[in-house]
Amino acid sequence: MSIFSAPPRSDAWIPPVAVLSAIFGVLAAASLRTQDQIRGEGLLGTRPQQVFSAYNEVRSTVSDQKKKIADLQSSLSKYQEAAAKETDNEKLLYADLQKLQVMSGIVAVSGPGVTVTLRDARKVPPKPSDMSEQEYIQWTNGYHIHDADIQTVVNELRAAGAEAISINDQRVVSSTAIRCVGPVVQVNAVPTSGSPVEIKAIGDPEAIFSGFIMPGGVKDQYAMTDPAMFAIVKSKRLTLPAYSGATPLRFAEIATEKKAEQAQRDSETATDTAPDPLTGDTPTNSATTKSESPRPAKGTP
Amino acid sequence: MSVQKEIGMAFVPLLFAGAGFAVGTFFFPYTIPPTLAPYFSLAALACLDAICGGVRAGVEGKFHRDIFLSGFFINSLIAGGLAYAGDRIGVDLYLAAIVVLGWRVFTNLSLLRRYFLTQSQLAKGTRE
Repeated sequence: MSIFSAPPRSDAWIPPVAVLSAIFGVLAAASLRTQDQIRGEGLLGTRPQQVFSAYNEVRSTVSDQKKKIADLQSSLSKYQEAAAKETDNEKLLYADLQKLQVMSGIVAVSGPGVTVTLRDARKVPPKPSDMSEQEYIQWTNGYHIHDADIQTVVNELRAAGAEAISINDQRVVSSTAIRCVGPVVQVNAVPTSGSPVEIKAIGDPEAIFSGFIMPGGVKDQYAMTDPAMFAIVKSKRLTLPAYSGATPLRFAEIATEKKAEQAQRDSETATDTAPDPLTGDTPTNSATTKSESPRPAKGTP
Repeated sequence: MSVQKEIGMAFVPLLFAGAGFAVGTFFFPYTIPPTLAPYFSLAALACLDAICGGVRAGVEGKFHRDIFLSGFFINSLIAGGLAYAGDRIGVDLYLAAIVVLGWRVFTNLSLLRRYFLTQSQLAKGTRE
């Protein structure tokens, strides 16, 4: 029967259709809000391909920017070199600048040092049948390299007087964070391979080496699980890359002279009241007042 | 029932959809998890298809509530299942559901439009 010749009909269809229409309205509103939110978060979409291409785009932008930073830094050092040839004063400034650059890690450096290699244990004991998955993961924790292992090595290197450190060719600078993100370790927010981890340091090779292999030192920590997890090699000449990340300073600024002096006084007081490492005693107040005297007078540069 | 009243009846669902949209916008502050968003859009499309089909059947005088409700739920399930299976095997099967449901929306709306045009022309006496 064609609808053009339909007989008179009832209104029974209206309530269910109306209810469904209302549901449709709610659904449409929720969908709309969700899509707005997704766009607001800067995601191009929820389909994996779109997310993937967006990720690749951001990655290539980052690598482009890094190249730009390297270019700009090399041209900057050329300018500085040119400026340094002018007068004695500028030569002195340039020498200072170079020292600070080496310390801050924004230039590549080379010199004698050591290479520490950390890798996961070759053999992980098989899972006993009476152990739950979670317990097993905890039990075998020591067989894998974690951020804490890398942090310990970096700490030890610095204590032994290392002047520059890099982890898998990521230079360690004052703002570097070393942390596990999922299965990989991030250094300077750049993911690096979890194993092996190659930590290079420039410093006195003998001093650093003996610091690591002394009884109870870092090397001994791995002797029980797998001695191959830790390896240290001395080198006559190592070259460490420059820090390639951004160096924004948004919050810190150089303190005014008055505030700097106050902070200096506070730190001296804190050092003086700390327990003496030999006797364990806390110095008296007279020691605090005594330390005030060698401080330079106000206004001295 | 006069033609005007009949046409008016056909706009009742539109009114309710508007009310539902207002409720969803102002009194329903939840958003859907992004991974489920495509499924919800599909559900909304299945809803729209069922509404258009229901209005058409109602105007034709062939409306059955069981057919209407079962059609809505089963179609939604099929659409959702297709979309999920497509995600798993890497083929955009949800396009099939979108094409079919969208096509049906167009068909039903065009039939309704022709029907009302014919009826109003008959009532005015401009059509034999």
